[in-house]
Amino acid sequence: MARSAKCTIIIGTNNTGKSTLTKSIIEKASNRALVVDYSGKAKIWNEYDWLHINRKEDCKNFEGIRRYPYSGYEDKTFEYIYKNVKQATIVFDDCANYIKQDVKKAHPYLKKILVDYRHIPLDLFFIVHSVNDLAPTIWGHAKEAIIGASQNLISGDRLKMLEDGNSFLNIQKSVNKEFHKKYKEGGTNHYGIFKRIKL
Amino acid sequence: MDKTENKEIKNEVTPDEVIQKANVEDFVNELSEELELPPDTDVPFVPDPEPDNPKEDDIDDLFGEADELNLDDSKKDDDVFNDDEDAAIFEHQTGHMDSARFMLIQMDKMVSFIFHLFSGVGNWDDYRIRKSGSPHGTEEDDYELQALATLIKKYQMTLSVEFIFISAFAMGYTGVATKAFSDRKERINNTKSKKDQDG
Repeated sequence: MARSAKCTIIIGTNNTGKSTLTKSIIEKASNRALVVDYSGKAKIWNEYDWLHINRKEDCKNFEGIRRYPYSGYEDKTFEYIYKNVKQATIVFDDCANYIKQDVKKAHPYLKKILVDYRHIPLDLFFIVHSVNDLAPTIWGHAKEAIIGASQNLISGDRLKMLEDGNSFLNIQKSVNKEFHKKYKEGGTNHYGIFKRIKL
Repeated sequence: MDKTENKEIKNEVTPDEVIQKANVEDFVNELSEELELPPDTDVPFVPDPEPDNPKEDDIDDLFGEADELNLDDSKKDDDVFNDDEDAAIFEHQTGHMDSARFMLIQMDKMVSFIFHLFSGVGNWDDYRIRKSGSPHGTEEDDYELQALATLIKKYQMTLSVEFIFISAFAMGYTGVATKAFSDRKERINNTKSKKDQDG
């Protein structure tokens, strides 16, 4: 049975394994994925080829995982994705580096992507270090979150936006506690601790 | 924890292990299902003929894509403006004209002021060509004004009230600035000659 496209937030501070987890997820589940990072220098995505997002034919025909740096076309990146990429997964890695808080004003085409992602359709992943890094507009459209340890707990407008903000907060606290416990124990067990929640 | 050790861990684990540890198998299974496609996803956008910031390795492609862009060599220059779509860009509205008129007046003042500083003679506004309206008689024949209004429309430039006020205010003082300089010079000379006489 066919499903609707998803908009997912992945939160985790350094060394939680959020990019590794995202990479594992899209390697397993997505036939076509585009990873956008700020400079194109993130080592984890180095093995994948570029996708020239300005070329409609390339966007139509690509398979597997491809990448493109936001710094290439800057805000036009969102416009090219909105116009050219369909039926794919889009990963916005470390997106606090290039997505401003006022999405509607600063990134009109990202706003269009958020409004239309289910119809295009596009699975969206927004990867951030902490809850405050992500614009409130994106919180408003996200349907799921995969929560790793992070410095800030959700609060203010972002908390009010969630239907069950208390559950989110409790998960954050428990993940943080588990992460710090495993970290103190030493070794590698702190790596890859996440919990999923529907928003 | 040693960062080198962490890198090795990231490389060692398989996607399945990462997914299992993060407890997101259900999420991956859901993502693996086919996306629901809407009946018509092909939105008619105006294609971009070339990227705004072509990369070095894109240059050859840009030239190579001439066929794809349907560039018709037989199209003569005279035909260019007969095309309704192309001609539309030369239509502008009252708002664009107002902005263009304002910008031209400020630019006229600035250029005149620079020429005055260069020549060092006369008044600061001696070199203005728009002191008493358009130098071409009517605004219809004022090609600079028409072209600037068209550019304002093309690039959707909007002048904020703040910008209009600050630039008008600053340019208003351009004339008296030169007077202030010459007055100061005169005062210094007078003081010096008075001292010489007293001495």
